[in-house]
Amino acid sequence: MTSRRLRYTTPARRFGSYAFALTASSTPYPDHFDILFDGFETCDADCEGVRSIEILQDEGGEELVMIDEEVFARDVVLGRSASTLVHTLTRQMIEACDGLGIHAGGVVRDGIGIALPAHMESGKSTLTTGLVRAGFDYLSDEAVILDWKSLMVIPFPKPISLDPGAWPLFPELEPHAPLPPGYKDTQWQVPPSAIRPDAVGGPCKIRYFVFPKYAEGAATRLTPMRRAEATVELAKNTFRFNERPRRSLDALAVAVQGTDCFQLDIGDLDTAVGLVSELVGDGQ
Amino acid sequence: MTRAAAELGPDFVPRRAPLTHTVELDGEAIVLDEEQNRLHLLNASATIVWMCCDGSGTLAEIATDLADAVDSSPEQLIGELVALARTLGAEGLLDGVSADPGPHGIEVAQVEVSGPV
Repeated sequence: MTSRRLRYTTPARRFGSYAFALTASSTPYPDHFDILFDGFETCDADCEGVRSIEILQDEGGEELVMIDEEVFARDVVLGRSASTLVHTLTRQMIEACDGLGIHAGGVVRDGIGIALPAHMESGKSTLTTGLVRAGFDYLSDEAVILDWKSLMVIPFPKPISLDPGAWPLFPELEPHAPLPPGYKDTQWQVPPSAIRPDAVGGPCKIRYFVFPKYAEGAATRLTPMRRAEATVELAKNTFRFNERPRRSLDALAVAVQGTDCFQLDIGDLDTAVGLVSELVGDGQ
Repeated sequence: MTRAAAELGPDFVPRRAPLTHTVELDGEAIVLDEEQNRLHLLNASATIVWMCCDGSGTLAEIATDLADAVDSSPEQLIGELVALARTLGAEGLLDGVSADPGPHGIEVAQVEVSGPV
């Protein structure tokens, strides 16, 4: 049995064809998620296809995440559903989007887009956050999505997910929501607006592909990459590449033409932010 | 009829396998093997040869065509071309050549969204 006394619902938020609204039995979750996803446009909650997300607590005390009336996840640690839900929504939005999705952070300044493609644990969220703090506009910390035709970036401003290793670098971004402590015990979910208001950037072309790779104690340096080499690395970081390999490879090759590509070894965040900033000019 | 890669010689007429797709950036080819869903990154020299693999000439004829462009002699080039053709054939990229067993090229694994599943 689950509690069904649900009363509080966020405005519906939309990314492409995917839309959702979150309902819970008290205000903190809806309020928290409304801020986390405030980079996405709102839409009419009564529209067809808006996914119904619910966070409930069952009689045994477990927290449940339900999507369209089906139990999607449960956790004995109260509050942890927040992170689960951020990742679930991120995944479902990316899967629903008809674009070329690259597993990458992304920032833009003065119309110059920078994609930061990398596998998990490479430090792309940390670098993205550092760049936004330094004045870049935020595109995403997880997926740089390119329109198939124009190859313009479609901003995907999900909450930034910071792992514990990055917390000391951004103490000012620690969340303080009236939620059970589990909501920030494994990851901080940070809305881009917490870094600064209007931090979300608009559509742009990618001018630089910078592949970050964090290693403790490493010398921080940018190393040029050949465009063909970069294209192969991009393919390895492209969502659903194998479902449409030829189309994806063709689009990646066009996207890379006219860009400069680098590997960025990161041992120190501030140095890395400085090197990337120099690529586009100081701009300050 | 297919031939083993090791049997290829100067008289072989190379043709790119039907299920390959090539993009070129700055003189380097990325070859998608659509049968295996794997990528092959060719250096500039190999790319020039790869682009000549259109079924219109033997390796010996390609060596003759390329010799002037690279300021070499056909006799010097032919050994390198045969070795390259054997490599490409063994990796399953040439029509009519049986690939060696095992995966070749660069795997493109499924990319997962970060975070708990």
